[in-house]
Amino acid sequence: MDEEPFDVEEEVSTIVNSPRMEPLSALSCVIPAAGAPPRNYWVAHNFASRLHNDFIRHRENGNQKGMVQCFYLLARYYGRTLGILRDALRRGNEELINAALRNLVILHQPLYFMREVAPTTIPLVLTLNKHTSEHFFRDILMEVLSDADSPITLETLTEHTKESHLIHQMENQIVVAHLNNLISRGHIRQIGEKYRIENIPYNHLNIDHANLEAFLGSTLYREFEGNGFLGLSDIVNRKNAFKNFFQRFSGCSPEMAELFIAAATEITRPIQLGRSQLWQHADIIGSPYPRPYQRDAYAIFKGYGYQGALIEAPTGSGKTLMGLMCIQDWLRTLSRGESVLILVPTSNYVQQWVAETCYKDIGLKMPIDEIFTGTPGTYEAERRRTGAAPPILIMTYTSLAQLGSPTGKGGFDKGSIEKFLQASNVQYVILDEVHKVADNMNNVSANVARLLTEWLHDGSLRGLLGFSGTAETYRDRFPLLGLQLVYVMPPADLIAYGFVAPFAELGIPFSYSDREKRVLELLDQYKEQIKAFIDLVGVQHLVDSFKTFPMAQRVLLGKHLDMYESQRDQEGAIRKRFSAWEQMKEISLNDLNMVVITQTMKQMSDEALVKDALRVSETPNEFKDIISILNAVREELRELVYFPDLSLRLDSEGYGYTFTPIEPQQPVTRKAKQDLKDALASTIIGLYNSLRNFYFRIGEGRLDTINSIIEAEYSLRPVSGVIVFDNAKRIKWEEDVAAPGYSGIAGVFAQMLGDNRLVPLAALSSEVYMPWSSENPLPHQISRFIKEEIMIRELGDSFFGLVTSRIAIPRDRLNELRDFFNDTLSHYVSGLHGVGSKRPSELNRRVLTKLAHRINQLNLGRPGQLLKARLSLRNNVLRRWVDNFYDYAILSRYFDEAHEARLRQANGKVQRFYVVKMPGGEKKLLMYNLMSRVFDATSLPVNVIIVSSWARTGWNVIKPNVLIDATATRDVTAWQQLRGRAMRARRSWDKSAYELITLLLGTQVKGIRGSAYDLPADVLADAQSVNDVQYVDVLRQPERRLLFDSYRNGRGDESDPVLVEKINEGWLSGFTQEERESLAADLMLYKNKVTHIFELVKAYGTTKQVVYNRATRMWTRTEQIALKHMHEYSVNPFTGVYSSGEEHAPLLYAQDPRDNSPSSLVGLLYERMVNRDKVIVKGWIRAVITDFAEPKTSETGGL
Amino acid sequence: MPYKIVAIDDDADLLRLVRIKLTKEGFEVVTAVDGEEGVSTVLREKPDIMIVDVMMPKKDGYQVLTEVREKMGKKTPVAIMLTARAETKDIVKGLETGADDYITKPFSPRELIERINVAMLKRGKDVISFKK
Repeated sequence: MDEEPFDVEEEVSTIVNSPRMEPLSALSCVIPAAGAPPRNYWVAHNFASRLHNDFIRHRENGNQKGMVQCFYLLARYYGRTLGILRDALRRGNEELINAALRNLVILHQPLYFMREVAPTTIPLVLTLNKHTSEHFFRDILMEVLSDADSPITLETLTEHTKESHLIHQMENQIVVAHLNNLISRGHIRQIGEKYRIENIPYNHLNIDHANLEAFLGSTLYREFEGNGFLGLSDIVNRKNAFKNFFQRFSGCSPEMAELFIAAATEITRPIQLGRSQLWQHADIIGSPYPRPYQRDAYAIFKGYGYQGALIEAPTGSGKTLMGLMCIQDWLRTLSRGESVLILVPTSNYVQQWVAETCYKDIGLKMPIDEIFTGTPGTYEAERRRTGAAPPILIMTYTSLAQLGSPTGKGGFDKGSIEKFLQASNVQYVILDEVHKVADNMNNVSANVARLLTEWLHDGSLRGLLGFSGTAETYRDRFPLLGLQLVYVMPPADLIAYGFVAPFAELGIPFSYSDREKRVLELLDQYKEQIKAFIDLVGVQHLVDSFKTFPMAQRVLLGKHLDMYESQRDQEGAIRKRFSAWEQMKEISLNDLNMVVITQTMKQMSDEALVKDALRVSETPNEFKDIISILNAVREELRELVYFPDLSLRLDSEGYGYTFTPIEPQQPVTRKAKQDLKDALASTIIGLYNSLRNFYFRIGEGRLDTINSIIEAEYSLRPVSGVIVFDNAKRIKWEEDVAAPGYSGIAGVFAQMLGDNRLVPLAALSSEVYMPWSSENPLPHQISRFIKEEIMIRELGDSFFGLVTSRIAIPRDRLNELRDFFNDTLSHYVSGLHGVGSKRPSELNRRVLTKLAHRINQLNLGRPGQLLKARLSLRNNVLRRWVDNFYDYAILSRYFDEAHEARLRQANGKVQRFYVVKMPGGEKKLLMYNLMSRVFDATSLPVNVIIVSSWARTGWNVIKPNVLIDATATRDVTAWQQLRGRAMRARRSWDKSAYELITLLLGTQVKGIRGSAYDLPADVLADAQSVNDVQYVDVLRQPERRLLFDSYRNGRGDESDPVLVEKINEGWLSGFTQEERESLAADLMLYKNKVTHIFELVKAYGTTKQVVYNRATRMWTRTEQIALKHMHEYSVNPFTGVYSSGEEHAPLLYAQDPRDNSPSSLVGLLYERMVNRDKVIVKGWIRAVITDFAEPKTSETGGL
Repeated sequence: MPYKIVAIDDDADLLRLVRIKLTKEGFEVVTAVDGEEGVSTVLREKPDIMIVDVMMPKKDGYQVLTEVREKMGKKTPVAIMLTARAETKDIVKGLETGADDYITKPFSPRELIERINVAMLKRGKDVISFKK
């Protein structure tokens, strides 16, 4: 087709200046890379996706006209975009080229899909111009004729041509016209009514050249042709030369040339001319499932020619699907015997890759026989046994690294790995979770990665790519692994569109609990009276008395009092100190043991000591006053101090007036020390020596702060789950009654017991703790959950999916078989108890044989035989399945056999709880994974999970919307990793929600006008006969419903009738900018979650993390802590501003963070955080929609 | 001048790998995809080393080696046989035919280079840099 003139300015404004066309937010941490994508093309994606869905719906309803309408709408928009691209190329408008190329890819995919699924209804999608498409039709005629043994009639020729499904509605007259052309050139001879081929050389169309010509249009093509780029293959093969040419020609960056190559390759991919695919798989690239940013990743990897590019993307962004798109691309040219190797950190990832490769609804759906999971050793054995060479190999880094190691663990033998690579003929590699590899550059996984990139760079591998989670810390290390970080997925974009859940962070200073504060005040009063007491006795008297006793006896007492207990030469240190005391003029709090030793030696009560010093027989009034004050202090402390040993000593009788005689024992045992402390409890300083231990037992404030946050959260909004991250500290539950105190996980868990609202589960890497209950104990519930939800439902489904994938069994029979299998498996699992190891033969006998029998009964023919052959547990994937299945059975036994234990809370209450030991090895990883499953399960009551550093990665939970980092260390890496655990989007944030938010935040793509460019003649002819479908900017009924529901959910009864009316009408152009933004936020709140992340900041003691800024009169984090926030970005929950540094996670305190009492924190949090979620969501939206313009409309309406 | 190697195997992927890895080590590598082509390539190129797969269509590796020895006599290049079998009789047969060493598939390119190294040493040739 000739290029049609069009209003370039108008077109350009449609694409560039539309509301979604803002330049990439400067706030997004985008590394300059190939074609940082403008988000506007998401709109094309949405448009294409809607039409795609409509098409599928029409197809299901048998509505051919509807199908064709969808096709032409897309085709016309595609043609217009092509025109825009050409103009942009001529003008060198980089931004527009970028946008148009991406739009073209997005639009091309559904066109291609439509043709593939409905070849008799939908015309061939060929990017050919009029001239070349005619040549192409003649090629087909020549092929049909050359396939015929003898001359054939026009009818037969037309018939055969149609059979090829390549040409839509090929009418006789068109065929005749082409035949005449061929006859005139001597290629065909007509004999009566029949035609036959002549032996004159016929040149077929070079599709490669023709595709490029059609893509560029004749003018631009001449420019390319003149520079030696006749076809796409010339461009791909001479990339560097092309980049130079492209830069010169268009004035664009080399990155844009990369994008051009990637897009052109995608769009002009050769039509499969009847050739059956070598590998059976579903089409992900051509499906509507990949999200826009997943397509970005694919385009970028492809643009880099799969040469060691690495993409960083946050947890939950669907990296596996991005990898599968690349694998699909590789499978086009992968021969039998060649393979793709996927390396992952743990077996959980292996399962995830298998699921998405084989049987997940959105995945490649490859047959199970094409996948290998296991170790290189088992690969060799498997290959010898079956003779097959699966194209997809999924294994862990360590299983590859340990290959050939003499110790079997920890070694690294390059030779053996290379031998394996050669044996399996690996051509492409995916390195998953590379940040975990980069975590330790000296470990075997890093060596494996380096070896593979070495193979890539010397050309031994055709392609390699990597994925990393968000881990800024490791970015410098990627080049050392031979990888190039080419793109960082902007988290802000993913959050604004709900693919990752929005969040906000708060710094919560914590200090002492109210009780601790009072105790500390009382201890201060106590110290004042000590001073008064010393003054009364007199320092000189004390020193003189102290000197009179033999050094050896004094030293023995010093040992009882734990003086210098950690020093190697304890006795020497004590002697030195005592010599110093003998010269002392003043006594400080650190010298009080001198008084205690003197009293013990003299066996004197405080009163006796005073009388002795003052040489009086009557008790002085000053002393009576001191004791009276101290008795009041003791009285109050008795109520406030929960530690049993301290409480007993506070109760000691005759305080101040009596002394219990005691002889220091040899050797110095723990009991002897306790006895001495008990005896001294009736003296002022002896009791203080015990009371001062309180300073070391502080920590209640931290725990109360955690509880206050949880309490405030519960009163603010629906809390779906709380993660508390803390230091690993186990409970010594083997003791009769454990006393975990306040610190670490043990303290947090212990303090939560007894609170009826909370069902905490504490998981360390060594054991798991759960609260006790007489009815329906939690461990038993979890055991049931493992059996019913994981073993029967999930693993059962995966088994059935694996064995039936790609076998053609009628749907009703398949369902019947599925029901039978489920019942049989369920019966088997419910009878499983006390499993200690795997039992494959039992599974075979009790489940699989029965299933095989049932298959026989159903008389399924060949598919039935295939299915039965698949049931062999000798298949490597099924063997792994069996391992997995029985590993869960063993875990369920662990919970059945939970220990019951007791602990004493800091307030003295004794609570019962359960302990389950963590298994070792691979099963430990399974257990970690189980923790997230238990937490997310709606059928289980756990609502708080307390975890240690194991849970920073590889542990994905969806439910929680509160995260508390209780370590108060602000470890940046830990925080980044942990944050990923709390920001997975809810499952309810589905395709409809995402499409609706894109419509709300997106542009109004102008209606499609004018003719399409360069579409085949038959396409254009048909297009004229199809009426335009009015894709105006009106929302459809389900979208209006969803919008209304989310709006009502946010406003309750305070709905604005005008806005409700607008929603009912559903005209997008009718909403103001503010309304759209607000409705988008309502939608996010309705279907997704907003996570509040609390960072505990220590505000007391010598290591406090806050400092007062006199200039601003504000408290801020200390410089050291504030620095750690420098490169962190998020939305400030109070201002709604997307920011970095300390600003992004404001400190919350009332007056002085040092007085941030836990009890007042609840009120403060409630007051400040009420209705903040909408502000947070809007903040994320504004962060990426920086120039939100008024929607545009056109005479035909927008989309 | 680098040492020249002729690699003969009907597995294109393996040939590619051998070519890449040995070229990287400084050898000049010429490849042939079956026994017949292998013999003519060796006679034409007169390499220092030949790497010959045992199992090939048209002519097997033993035949290739025998024919080359007949025609080149003492100037027969260092010969390393590639075999999928690791049985003693195959190894013996290869060595009897005049092979300097053998290596079983799959192998690590590193191992192949070491074997070449050893075979060259036996022939009294410099192996330090693989260069003449």
